[in-house]
Amino acid sequence: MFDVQTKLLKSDVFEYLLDLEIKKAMRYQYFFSLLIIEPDLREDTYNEADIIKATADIISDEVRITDTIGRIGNNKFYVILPHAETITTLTVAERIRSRIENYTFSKNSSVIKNTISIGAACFPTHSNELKNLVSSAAQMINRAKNIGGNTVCLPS
Amino acid sequence: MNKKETILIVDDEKDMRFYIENLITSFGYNAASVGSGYEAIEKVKTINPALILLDLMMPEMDGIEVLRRLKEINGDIPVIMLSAHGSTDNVVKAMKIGASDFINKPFEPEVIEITLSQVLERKNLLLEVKRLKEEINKQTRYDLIFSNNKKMTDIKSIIEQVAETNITVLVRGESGTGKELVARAIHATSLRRDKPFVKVLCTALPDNLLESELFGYEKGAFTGAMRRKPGKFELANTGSIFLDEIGDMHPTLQSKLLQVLQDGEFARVGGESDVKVDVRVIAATNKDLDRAVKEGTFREDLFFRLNVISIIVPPLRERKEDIPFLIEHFLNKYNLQYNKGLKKLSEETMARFMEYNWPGNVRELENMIKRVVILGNEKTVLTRFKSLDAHTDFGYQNEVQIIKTDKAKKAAPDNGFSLKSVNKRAIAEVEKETIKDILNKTRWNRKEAAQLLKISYKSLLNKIKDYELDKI
Repeated sequence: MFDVQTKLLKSDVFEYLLDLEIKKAMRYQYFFSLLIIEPDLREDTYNEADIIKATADIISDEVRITDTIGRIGNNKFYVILPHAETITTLTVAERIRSRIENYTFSKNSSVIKNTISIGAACFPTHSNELKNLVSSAAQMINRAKNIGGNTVCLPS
Repeated sequence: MNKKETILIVDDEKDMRFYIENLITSFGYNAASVGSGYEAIEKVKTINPALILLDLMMPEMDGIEVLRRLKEINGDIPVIMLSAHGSTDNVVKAMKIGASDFINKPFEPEVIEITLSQVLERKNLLLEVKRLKEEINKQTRYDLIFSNNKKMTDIKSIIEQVAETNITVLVRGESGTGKELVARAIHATSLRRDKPFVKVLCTALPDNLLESELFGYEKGAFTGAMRRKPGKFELANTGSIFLDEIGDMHPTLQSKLLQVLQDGEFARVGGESDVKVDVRVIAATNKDLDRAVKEGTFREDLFFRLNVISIIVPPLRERKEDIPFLIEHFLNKYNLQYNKGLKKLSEETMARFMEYNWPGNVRELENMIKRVVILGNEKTVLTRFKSLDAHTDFGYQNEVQIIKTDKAKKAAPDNGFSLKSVNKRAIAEVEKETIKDILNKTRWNRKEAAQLLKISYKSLLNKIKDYELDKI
């Protein structure tokens, strides 16, 4: 259920919870949003594992304890923010982005900086269905990365 | 969990195979093993393992390629990768193709045991979910199909014709005829079938609440609006919305609804900006909307807008030839649900069912069958029919009259002199008999009895105690 390295949810459990969140939001009529967060790793990033771990910790620290975080694939994090509509989503995402930007990943006295890209989509504003919601957020993270990373993107 | 599941081990090293096989057998599973990818692919076709342990590095065909082929053959079998060379690249690759987990060699026996049981448990859960989903799909598909009636087959063809368009449909018919099923069938046959189907019962909420339910509200729109709430129309975006009992909607809401139908746009309560939606509207009512329009309680423009295609579901009494099929269907449904084995109704009950005029339509029939299945006999249903035959309205009125005169005579004084006490005793006698009778009629359903007697539930309980009435 939990990823050993980051202690975050594994992808299948996360997917189940995302599906459940959609059903709950549909039934009890509330907004929620999905963030996809990916560190902007470069070819020469030699301590990838440490960065992933530290990024995971920062995300867990920045979101509410009721938010759900999953590690999807090797270096992507998905976050469910219940009751967050577009403005809140943007605020939270921006806060995580800037915290990572200012964070110093250090190992063996060397100082390393790293940034992240965030793509987000909001239910039901951008989509009211699992697949589309994920693909909108995925499109947004691609856009964020294409414009150079260290950015938060939301569907307009 | 059933531990006698077969696990297939694929590894080119003989010792390793032997070791894992022993380990797995000791955990209580069955084990089978092969030495190459090709053999694995052949083996999967014959033994259908519950899980596969697959070595990543093998000569000829490597683990990744084997995994890909295995997933093509049967994507439901979970595969756990084993590797002594666990590079991140291969892990990612295998996970992307669909490996369930990864174990690094060398490993502790417990790691294998825990991983196996976790993966198998997950697999069983997924299979269960899949099965339940199929069951639900099947149910919604079949509910409408059984019918020999011309009107019903007509409805089916109308549904098929309109389903793929985005036309608004108005479903009309008496209560309990299956208007919602028609709406669901339209959605299920439409191109929007994978999108949400949102149902709103317009009578369930007071008007102002219904407005915020349908259109949502902004934070601070009214006291208690703590945060922005999306409306049902937003939730149904790209799908269908089913507005049940639309005839009871308040005229002010009707105009807002009309605006959504015309422009596909609306504002949340307390909001300024418009929300754009693409929703197919299916409305239903058991009211005579033509008359409501004439009386001015239903907006004419909205009526025309909704009434592009109108489907009228006939009441059950006009399609009695469907009753046997419906009975069979509901018997099966409730036998399954309550784990009972009632296969057929008796001739007598069937005859009664065919005669009856079913004011509550299919829903009434369904409830009756449900009761028969749960109780396991048809007695109560038959009793009900008999009492319906004998008197309308359970015939209480007439019987009470008879009791009154009869008992009043008997209550004449034989040991009392005061007229007042005679009066009291007579009333008590009559009351007692009446209450007893009604209680027996309602099978001691005290709530129903109290309603029929037009007294409060509590005073009925008091009277039962006073007159020392007992269930016989």
